[in-house]
Amino acid sequence: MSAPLLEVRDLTLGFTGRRGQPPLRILRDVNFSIARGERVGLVGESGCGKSVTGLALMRLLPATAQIGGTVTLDGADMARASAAQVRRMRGKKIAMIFQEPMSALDPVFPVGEQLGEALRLHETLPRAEEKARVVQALADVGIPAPERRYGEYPHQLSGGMRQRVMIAMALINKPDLIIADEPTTALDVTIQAQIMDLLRDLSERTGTALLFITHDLGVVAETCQRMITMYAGEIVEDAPVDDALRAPKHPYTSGLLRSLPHFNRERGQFAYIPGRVPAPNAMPRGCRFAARCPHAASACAEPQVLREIEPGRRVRCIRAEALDLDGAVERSPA
Amino acid sequence: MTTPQAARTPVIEVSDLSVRFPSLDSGSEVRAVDGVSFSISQGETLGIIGESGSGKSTIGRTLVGLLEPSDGELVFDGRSSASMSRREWRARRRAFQMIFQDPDAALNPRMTILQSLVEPMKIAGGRSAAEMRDIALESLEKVGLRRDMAQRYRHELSGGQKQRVNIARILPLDPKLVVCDEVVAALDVSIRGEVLNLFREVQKELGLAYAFIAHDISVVAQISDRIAVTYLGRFVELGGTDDIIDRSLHPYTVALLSAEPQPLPPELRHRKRMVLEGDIPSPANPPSGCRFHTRCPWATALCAEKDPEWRELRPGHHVACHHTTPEGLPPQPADRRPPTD
Repeated sequence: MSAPLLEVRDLTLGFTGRRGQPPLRILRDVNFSIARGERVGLVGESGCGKSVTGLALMRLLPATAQIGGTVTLDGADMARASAAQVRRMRGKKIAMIFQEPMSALDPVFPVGEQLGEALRLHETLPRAEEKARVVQALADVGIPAPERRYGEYPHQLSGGMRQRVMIAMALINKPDLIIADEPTTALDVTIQAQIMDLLRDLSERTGTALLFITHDLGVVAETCQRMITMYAGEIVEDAPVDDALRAPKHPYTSGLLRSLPHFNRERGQFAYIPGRVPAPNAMPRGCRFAARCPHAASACAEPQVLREIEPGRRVRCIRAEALDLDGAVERSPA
Repeated sequence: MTTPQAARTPVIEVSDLSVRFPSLDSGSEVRAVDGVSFSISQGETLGIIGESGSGKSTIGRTLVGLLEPSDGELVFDGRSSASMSRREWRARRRAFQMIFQDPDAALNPRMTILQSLVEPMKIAGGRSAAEMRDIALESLEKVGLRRDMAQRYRHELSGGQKQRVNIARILPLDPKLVVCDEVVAALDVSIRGEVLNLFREVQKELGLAYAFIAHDISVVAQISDRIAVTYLGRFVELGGTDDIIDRSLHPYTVALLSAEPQPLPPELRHRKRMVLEGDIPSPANPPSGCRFHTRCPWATALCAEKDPEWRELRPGHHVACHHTTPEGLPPQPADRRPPTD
């Protein structure tokens, strides 16, 4: 098997505290890899560290961030690269799509101009050819009348069209990996369906790998091949998406799946996970989920390691083998 | 468990409601809500689903008197809101309360939770300070919060706790109808269920009616007795929850349900995705005839010309579509089926 496209090893992230305060530790022991062309979903509730993981990979964190570990992208270490090296890699090797396209686009330039700028950062092209490439990029993401849209400003486009423009911009330099942070959360559900299909098709067609950061497990189920669950700054489960949905091995993944209402479920009580995520400055020594876990036992007071329990499946739970957890569907119909 | 409609008294009856706003750039009007009729009974939850621009929030705001109808009327206990004096309407309006998406929206950052709880009672009047305080603390307990929360400020509470406080605030007003506008959209999925259970408990205890507005169909489906599906200011379908979910009659409902990503392994997703082409048209300039015809795979020339009638095709199940039948939609025209599944 060839080397993975992205390999994240022992990634830690902290922020320098205010005077006299200890630094806030946000990420700990983050280890995962993404193969070429693979689509991976990174899930968890707010504050679990999924978005900062994406920003750390892009090196988009402020100077107060202290990053440890290595982030190897196609052989180069993103975590230690110089600012100039990072600029060369961003866009060309790794690109990012954000939740709110309106804040990522400049309101005073036509969208075609902005796409052209992204292209110019990595290639010198004659003006006419640049325009042709941009129009093609707009057409590739399903924007009707791309010639006309080229000259339009962001406010003239709908939310769905703006997100397509962002996807076109992310793809224009043919990166190996796209990080998409909640790319459909701000969109209506019928438009979300279009964008998800587009991302999946483009990834299949161009061989671009995708790291899909989202709280929406439905989006992951329908778009990704693998699902990584984060909780309180740690990866707690990493599994092929179908396995994770059918038979999660970490009680947190199971809790998330059980919390989702779906319309073919009997109406009755809503399921939920009691309690809340511990604050970064009040992390327990043992399992970080134990206080909310219905299966917690004495062994959970010890620090938990992320371990491989079968090929391609990792879990940070000492009780994983002993538990028979519910997934998206009940394990044994009552 | 669908509730027998006729047996219950309607808390509110809305007939032919329209809400128009002046449009800034064209000088014309935006018809945010355009001829919508429904009623909500005591103890019932009517789910209202739809995408942006569908008018669902405008309907909700009109129900509680935050917006005035441009046309049509709201009837409470057999009396039209239009026939009431301002003072009478103000007094009655208290029975119609609203909870918003943003848990911070109704909580003043400079007030303690106790002050926030007392505020609505002060406005309603008729209670002593000591009484209001006692009632406020009782309300906190009713929504599962400890009494000592009363001395805290909103920034000390989690999103779920704040939404509990927002529920606690309206309880002393003895509401009949609560408009819940995307009340769990800002909360993490892991804790939504806890808050939704509370909404349900409070409803059971007080016999409240809910207008439950959300874009998340799975939440609406699990909490509602009936569901209304909105598109560009109109209802396209209205019926019992099981009818809407399992026996949808309108193409837009079918598309909306199929677009919701399902967190299930592929073989268990029993809905085939029907991806709608194009964007939602602007409510300032809605399409002619059936407003959905520009995105509808079933649309014919008739749909562009003629507005479909609002028909009751099955008992209690209304729909506005030229092509649907009581047995459901005919097979999708082959030439317009999307190339992929």
